[in-house]
Amino acid sequence: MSPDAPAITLRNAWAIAVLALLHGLVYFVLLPHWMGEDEPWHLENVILVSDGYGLPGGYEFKASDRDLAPLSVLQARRRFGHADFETISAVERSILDSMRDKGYWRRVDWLGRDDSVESFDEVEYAITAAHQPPLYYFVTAPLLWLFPHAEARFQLLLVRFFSLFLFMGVVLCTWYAASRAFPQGPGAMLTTLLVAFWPMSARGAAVVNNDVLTRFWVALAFAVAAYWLTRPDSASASAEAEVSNESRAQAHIGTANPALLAANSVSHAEVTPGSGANPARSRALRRWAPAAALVCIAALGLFTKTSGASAAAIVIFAVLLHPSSWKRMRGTALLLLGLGAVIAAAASVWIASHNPGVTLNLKDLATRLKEGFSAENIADLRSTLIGRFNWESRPLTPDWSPAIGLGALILFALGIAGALLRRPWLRARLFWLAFGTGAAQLILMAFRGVSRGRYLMPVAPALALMLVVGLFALLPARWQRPVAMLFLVALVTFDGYFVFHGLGREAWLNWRW
Amino acid sequence: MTSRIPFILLAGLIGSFLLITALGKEVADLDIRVSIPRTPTGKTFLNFPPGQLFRCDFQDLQRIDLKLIQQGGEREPELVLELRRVPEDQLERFASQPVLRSAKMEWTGDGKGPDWAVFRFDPVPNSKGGLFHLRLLPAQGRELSNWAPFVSMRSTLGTFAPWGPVVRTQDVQVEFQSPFWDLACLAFGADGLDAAAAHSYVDLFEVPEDGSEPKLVRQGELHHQGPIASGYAFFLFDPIPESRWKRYRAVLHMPKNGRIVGTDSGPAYLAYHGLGEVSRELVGQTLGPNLLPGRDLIFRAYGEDGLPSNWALLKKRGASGRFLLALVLWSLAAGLALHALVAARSQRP
Repeated sequence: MSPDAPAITLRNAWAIAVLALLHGLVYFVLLPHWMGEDEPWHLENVILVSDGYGLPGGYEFKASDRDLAPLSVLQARRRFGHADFETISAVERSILDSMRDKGYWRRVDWLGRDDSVESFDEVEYAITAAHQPPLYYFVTAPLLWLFPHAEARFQLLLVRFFSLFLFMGVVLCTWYAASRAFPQGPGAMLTTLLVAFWPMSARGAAVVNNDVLTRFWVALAFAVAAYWLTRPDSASASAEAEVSNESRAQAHIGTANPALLAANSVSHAEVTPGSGANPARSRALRRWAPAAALVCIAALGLFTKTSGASAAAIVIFAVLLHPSSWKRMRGTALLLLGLGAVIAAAASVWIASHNPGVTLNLKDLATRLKEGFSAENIADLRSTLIGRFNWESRPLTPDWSPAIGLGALILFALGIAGALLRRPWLRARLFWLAFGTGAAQLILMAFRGVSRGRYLMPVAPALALMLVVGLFALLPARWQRPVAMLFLVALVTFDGYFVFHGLGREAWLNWRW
Repeated sequence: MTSRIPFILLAGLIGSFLLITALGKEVADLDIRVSIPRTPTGKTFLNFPPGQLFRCDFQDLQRIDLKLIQQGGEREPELVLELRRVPEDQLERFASQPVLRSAKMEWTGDGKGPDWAVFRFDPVPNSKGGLFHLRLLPAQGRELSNWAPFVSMRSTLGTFAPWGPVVRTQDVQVEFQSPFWDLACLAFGADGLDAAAAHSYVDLFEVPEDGSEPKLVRQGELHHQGPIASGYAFFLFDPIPESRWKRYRAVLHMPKNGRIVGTDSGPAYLAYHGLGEVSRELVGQTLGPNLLPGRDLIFRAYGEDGLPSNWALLKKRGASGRFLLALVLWSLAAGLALHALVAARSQRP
C-alpha cells in the first residue's frame, strides 16, 4: 500500500467510526417516530420475541378464525404461536397509540384519512413482518429487557440506536474492503465516504428494520472476501502485490475491525497448541478459515432477510475468483457443499414462514422477473435509491434520479473499463467481486418483482467501489485526488440537500392537513 | 497535519445555507395528502362547478394548488379558480358570496397528469380565521373543460379494481370480501353518468358463506348530483359495523346512457370504510350550490411564507432544536469527511 492511502489502523478506524456516528445521528435526530419503512411490524416482532414468544407455536389460521382477529394479528399469531390474540392485539394497540400521538397518519400520503385505526391492517393491509427470518428480532429483543416497562415509542428509539451502531459497522467494513481494493490513492476513502454519505444509505442508521442487520452481514462478508482474495498467500495478491506495507496492514486487521478478528486468529492457527503439530493441517486451516467464516456470515445474512442472499453470492464469487479454489477442488467442494446446506436450511425456514419473497412456481417466477425489470419498477428503484420520504410516499424534489441514475450507469461502465485495463491503483479481482455482488443482488431483487432502493443497500459497499473505480478509470493518477475532492463536495452537498430540503421539510413541515 | 477546523467551518457554511434555503421555500399550510390519487370527480362542467370549503388558520392566503388530470384530448379550455370569503353564519349560502379573487391555472406537470395545477392571486389580508370557498370553472366561459380535479374520501380504502378501457352500459355488479369494519361507500369509475338526469343507486347484498341466498343489506345513493364524465361516482350508505371478512355483492343500477368503465375482469370500483373526522379546517367538497360532506378536493393552500414563518412553525411543533442539532452534527460529519480525504495526502512523508 502506498503511503498516500490511509493505512488500516485502529486510529483511522476510530476516525471513520466517529464520522459515521455523527452522520448517522443526523438522520437519527431528524427522522420522526415510526417514519422508517415498516417499523411498526418489525417492532411488533421484536416486542413479541422479547416477551418470550420467539419460538414458532405450530398455529395455522383458518378461514373461520378471521372472525376472531384482524389479518395482521392472525399472521403474527401464525409466526409467534405461543402468543394469544389478546397479547398480539395489545402490542399492536400500544404501537398504534404512539403512532396516533405522533401524527403519523398525517405524514403518510397513502394512509386513510380516518386515524381511528384498531389494527395494523388499517395502516397497510396484508403487510406483515411475521414471515421474516428470525435473527434480527432475536438479536434486538434483549435490548428491550433493559427497560421492561417502556412505552412503544421508547422501545423504538432503543432499537434505532442499535441500527446506528450497525451503520458504523457497515462503514468500517466498507473501509476495510476498499482499503484492500485500492492499494494507492484516495479510492478507499472515497468509497467509504460514499457509503457513509449516500443519503438513503445513511438513513438506515435510524430505522428499525431487518434491512439494517442484513446490510451489516453483507458488508462484513464483502470485507472478509476482500481479505481472503488479497492476502499474500493468494495468487492474486502475489501477482498484484507491489505492496510495501501489506504485512503491516495484516497486523492491523484484527484491531481495525473486530469482526474480522475471528478469521484472522484462525488464520494464525499454527501458533496455537495442538494445531502446530500438523503443519499441513494448519496451512489448510489458514487457507480456508476466511472462506469458512464467509459461509458462517452468509448463514447469518440468510437468517436475517432474504436480501441477505447477496452474502451467499459473495461467497460464490469469492470462491470463483480465488486461485486456490481451482487448485484445491476438494476444499472448494466442501465449502460449496457447506454453503449449499446453509442456503437449503435458510430457504426451508423462509418457505415454512410463508415468506412472499420465495416462490417455487416457475410461472410466478417468470412473471416476477418480467415485473422486476419493467420500466416502472426500474423508475421506482431509481427514485427510492435517490430519495423518497414518509414511507416512500414523497419524492425528493426536483427529481434528480434520472440524471444521477444515468451518471451512475456511465461510471459503472467506466469501472468495467478500468478493471479490464488493470490499473495499478486497483486490485481488479475485488472489482469483479463487487461487480458480481451487485449484479447478483439486482437479479435477486428482480425475482421478488418489487424494487426498492433499500433492498439494494446491502451491496452499497460493492456499488460504491465500482462507482469510484469508474470515476478514476480514465484519469491520470495525479488527477485522482482533486477529482475525488470535487466528487466528495458534490456528495456532501447532495446529502445536505437531502437532509434539510428533503427529510427535514417532509418530516416536520409538509405534513399538515 | 491539516487542522479539521476549517473543514468543519466550511461544512457549517454549506449546511447553514442549505438549512436556510430549505426553510425559505414555500410550505403548504393546508394539504390534503393522498398518494396515488385514484378518484377524479370527472370533467368540469360550467353548470356544476366543483369546489371546496375550508378555513384558514394562516395569514395572507395567496396560492391554491389542485391535483388535476386531463380527461380527453383537448387541453383547452383550462380552468379558472374563484375564491370567496364566506361568513361563518352563511355557510349554506357560500355560492352566493361575492368573488374575492380569481386566478388562472398554471399547469406544473409535463403530461396529462395527475399533477398539480397552481392558482396564484394577490394575498388575502387577514385570511387567518376566515372561511373560504374555492370553485373551479372552465375558462373563457365554455361549457366544459377536460380538466378534472381529484376527490379524497375521509375514510380508509378497502378493496378496489382498476380503471380500464372496457365500457359497460348495463347494470353492473362486483363481488368482494371486505377487509375492514364499517363498509360505508362504494365508488364506480364512470365514463358517463348523468346523475342529474336520472336516479342511479347501488344495492348491496351480503353473500353468506354457506351458499344461501344473498341478503340485501344496504342501498347506496349517489353522492354527486351532477353529470359525471370520466370520473368516479360515489354511492354512500349507512356504515355496516360488522363488515370485516364478510362477502358482498354490489349491483349498480344505471340510468339510461350510463357508461361504467373497467377491465375485462370487471368494473372499476373502490370500497371505503368508516367516515373519519378531519381537521376543523376542512369543511368539505361542493358541487354547484351543494355541500358534499365527508369528502374533499385534493388541494393545498399557501399563505405567508419564508424563513421566519417556517421557523415559527418548527418551533410550534417542537422541532427547531432538532434542526439546530442536526445542523451541528451534519457540519461536524461533513467537515470530518472533507478533512479525511485531504488528511490522507498530508500524511505523505
